Amino acid sequence: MKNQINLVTQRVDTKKNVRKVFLASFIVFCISFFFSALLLLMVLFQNNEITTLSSQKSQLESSITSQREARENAALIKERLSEINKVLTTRFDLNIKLAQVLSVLPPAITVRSVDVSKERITLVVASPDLSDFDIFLDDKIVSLDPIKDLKDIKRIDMNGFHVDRKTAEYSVTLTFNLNKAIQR
Amino acid sequence: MKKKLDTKELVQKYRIYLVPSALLGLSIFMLFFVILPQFTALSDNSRTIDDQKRVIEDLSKSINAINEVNGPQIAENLTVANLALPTTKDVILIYTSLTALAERSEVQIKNFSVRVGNFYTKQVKGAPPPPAATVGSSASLKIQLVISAPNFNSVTNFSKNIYENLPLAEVNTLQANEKSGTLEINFFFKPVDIAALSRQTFISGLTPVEKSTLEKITQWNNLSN
Repeated sequence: MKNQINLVTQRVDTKKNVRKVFLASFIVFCISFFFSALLLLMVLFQNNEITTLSSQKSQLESSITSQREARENAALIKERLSEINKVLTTRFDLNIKLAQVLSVLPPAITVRSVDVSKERITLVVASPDLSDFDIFLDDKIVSLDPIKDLKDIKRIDMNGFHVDRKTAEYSVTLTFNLNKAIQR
Repeated sequence: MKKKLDTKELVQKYRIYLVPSALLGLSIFMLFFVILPQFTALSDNSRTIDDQKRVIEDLSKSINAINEVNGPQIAENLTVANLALPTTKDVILIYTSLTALAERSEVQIKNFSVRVGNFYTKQVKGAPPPPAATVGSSASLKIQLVISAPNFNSVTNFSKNIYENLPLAEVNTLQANEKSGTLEINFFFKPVDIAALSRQTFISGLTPVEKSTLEKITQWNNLSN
């Protein structure tokens, strides 16, 4: 009967358990404390950095404000150049179209007058020899690349055939109708 | 009396758990009232720091850009830019420029007309707005010019030279024969919004495109002088 009662062993177990609980809670507390302190330090460090950056920003802003005239000049020149660039890239250059059309004419054909607009280019051309017009129609026009050379031209009309007996020249009116795509 | 004894016994029995419980309680308190709020503060502060750094970087770039643009050439560059794209309808400037160009192209100006534009009354409800001659956000002034020239090439050269002359212009129509020509030219201008320019805090330096545009118009200006 006496052997079955073992009070000493139970007390030792309880003490061990208490020590374990104490140790675990102490570790948890230490970890929490460590993280709290670390985070607080980090936040303090960040706040310090924010203050430094704010003063730096204020200095730069006041520096820019003090250079008011220089800032306005810089902004003005940038605004002007940006607008100028827009105009340069979008303005219609009829000389390019005219040069393209004139390059198609055989050298023997002379240009008497031109009427160029964004919609069409009308040329009055003359030549003492009728065969020059044949060269224009049969060789020059046919040899043109529809994608490269004729991409801006929608239709070509030839009319107003005329013979000038004084100068012994044949003249004709050529109308090159331009594509809508190139008209701004 | 018995109850009192029970409480005492209870305290006596669990006294050893008091310190661990207090430590755990403190840990939980720190978790909810220190650690978690600091995480939010950290993330907010990081965002603020990033924003501040970005603003500082932009401001520094602006100062560099201002110093770069405001070099010794600033007055000249501004003059050229304003000459290329005047702020108003400057008819005298256009006329002077065209006469100088005509001289260079060996043609003579016979007639110079300005099409100021239509008059518009208060817009009628539902009616379409009046048409505006604009390219991008620039407006233009229409000029009609009659020139006399020694030959057809002089007329076309004059028309070509208009594109390399200041103020910037585009030829709308060209009618030419061997001795004369009639041109309808749009001269561009754009008023300056001083208030908007003054409000601008961030200014970037000149881009390569803007630099090349400046070089181009300076070259054209030198040609005409």
